[in-house]
Amino acid sequence: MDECPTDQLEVEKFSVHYGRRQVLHDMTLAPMRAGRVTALLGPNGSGKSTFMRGIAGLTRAEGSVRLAGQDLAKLGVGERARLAAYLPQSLPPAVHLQVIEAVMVARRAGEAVSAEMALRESTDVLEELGIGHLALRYMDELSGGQRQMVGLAQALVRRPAMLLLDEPLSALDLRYQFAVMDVVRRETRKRNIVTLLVVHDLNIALQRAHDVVYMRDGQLVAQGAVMAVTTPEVLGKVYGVQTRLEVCPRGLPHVLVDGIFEESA
Amino acid sequence: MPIKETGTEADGSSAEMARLAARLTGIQTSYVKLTRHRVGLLCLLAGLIVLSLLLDFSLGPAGLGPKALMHALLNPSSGTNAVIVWHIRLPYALMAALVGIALGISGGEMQTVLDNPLASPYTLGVSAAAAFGASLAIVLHWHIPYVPDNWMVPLDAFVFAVGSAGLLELVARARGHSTAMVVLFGIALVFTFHAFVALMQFIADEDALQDLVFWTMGSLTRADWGKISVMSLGCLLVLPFCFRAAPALTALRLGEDRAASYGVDTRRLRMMSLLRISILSALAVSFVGTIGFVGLVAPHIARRLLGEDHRFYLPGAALCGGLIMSLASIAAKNILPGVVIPVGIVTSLVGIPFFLTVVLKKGA
Repeated sequence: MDECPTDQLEVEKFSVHYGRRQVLHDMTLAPMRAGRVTALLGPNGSGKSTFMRGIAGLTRAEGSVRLAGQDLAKLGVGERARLAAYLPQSLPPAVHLQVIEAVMVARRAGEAVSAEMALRESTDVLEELGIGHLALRYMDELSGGQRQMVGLAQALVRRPAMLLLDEPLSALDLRYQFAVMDVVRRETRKRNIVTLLVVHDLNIALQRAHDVVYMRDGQLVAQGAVMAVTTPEVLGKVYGVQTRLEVCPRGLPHVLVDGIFEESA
Repeated sequence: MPIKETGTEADGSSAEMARLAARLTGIQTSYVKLTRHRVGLLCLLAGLIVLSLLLDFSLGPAGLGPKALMHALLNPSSGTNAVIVWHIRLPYALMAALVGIALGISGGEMQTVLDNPLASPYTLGVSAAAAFGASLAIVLHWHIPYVPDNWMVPLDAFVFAVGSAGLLELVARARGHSTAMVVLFGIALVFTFHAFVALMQFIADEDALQDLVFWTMGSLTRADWGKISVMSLGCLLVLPFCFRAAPALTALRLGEDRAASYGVDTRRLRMMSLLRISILSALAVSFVGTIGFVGLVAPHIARRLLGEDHRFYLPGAALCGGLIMSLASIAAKNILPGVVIPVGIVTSLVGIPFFLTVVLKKGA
């Protein structure tokens, strides 16, 4: 890949406080390049969601966040929202709105777009995600997996330069987990955008993400290409578990957990 | 169509492209049809309100025929009939619809902003606060210089209603907009103000007690042209802002973070919305007294009929509220011959069949 070197997300000295409690401690990351999917991994409470919300501008944070060289902190709410699409951890609620309407709302909120254009673009995105047949169904008739796909369509229809997905797989069955990951991977490459996502399933992350960021207690533990940084030492440090990394006959990595370490600290 | 150039199995085949184009047209036609259907429904609701107003205007204990009504309407100073038409029939009928519209849209916005289907001016204490304000004026005979006596009760009620809505807003802000907390606080307000009203009833003398009980039942008999002007001015000033916020409110309905990530300033949206709600609902309850049910139920009916795109849902909630109140006003005059029952008593009786048919209908 030979994308422009400025097409990347740079995070420096990134800190977030909730009241007096510091949740993220001066995190400085290597640039995250467009066209690649970066998985954010770490135990519960390690600050993954806070990190995502901070980058999206939904939580007050200190430090610098630059996308393609542009300082996001200097942008207004609307401009920042146009660059960064954030998918919250919860599923889109089961409201009495048609899928197509729900996607159009996302396209038109905070931007003057004609109904006709929004309708066309929304339909296109639904087709791209393979849920065009759901366009006229109501959100309150859909399964959780289908609603999550709509959530993804809502994020993508805004044509963001950066996609921030907070646990997009948590409510989904196996098939949808892979469907969502494949869509995310494909769109990330096609649109050449920076994609960051939080996942809990290590094996999905290893098989479907390009890069990983390991976090613990609001601090960066390791960052890099999946196979380069995922080692039993790092996983032990991050999760407190004893693991083996096996490669299946097809060459895909798998993490096997043998046991847990006694909590020392 | 710039899609499907990614190398999935679908592209290249022209049959596939044709199928996609057909689906796109299908969705577009159906969306246009849906929009037309919704506009049609809104017009229908508005038409029903006009019919209901006419009926409300022509029915009443005086039993005037159409000819007498027309004559009195065209000659405002022509004796008893003119008094009935101009001081009773018209103001009551108009006030009913206006109050319904104000309560309907406040309830609709409140349910969205607080993300709770049980939110309404009545259930979160705005009405109870108004009742307490009214009780201060009725029982303690509070007077403010230069304010006419018959405006004292609504004025007090208004001040307390706005105050309670303001408290809700303060709590919302202090608790980081945790909506569950706001709803709980609203319920606490209801009980507090009910206790205060009961206290006022306890210390009231006989006449004041009767006045106060009558006030809390909600009645249109307090309507006059001055109050109608204030009420309609309030609606005219506030409703455009409600409609302008509609797209942002639809986004908020999809979740706070989601709306924020679309660039909606949710704090500001919520604050302005609570301000509009407090003005409209406080106006309504201060002029006609406690009216439950409408603010709670009109939004649910609108949601079922029109979906949750707030460009349709909010006007729908307003119109459903207006219609229910107008029908209630007719019922209030005609259930018992020769007696006008306080309208607050009949709103739920009139609204419930309407509510049940719409909300319990599967797949509406």
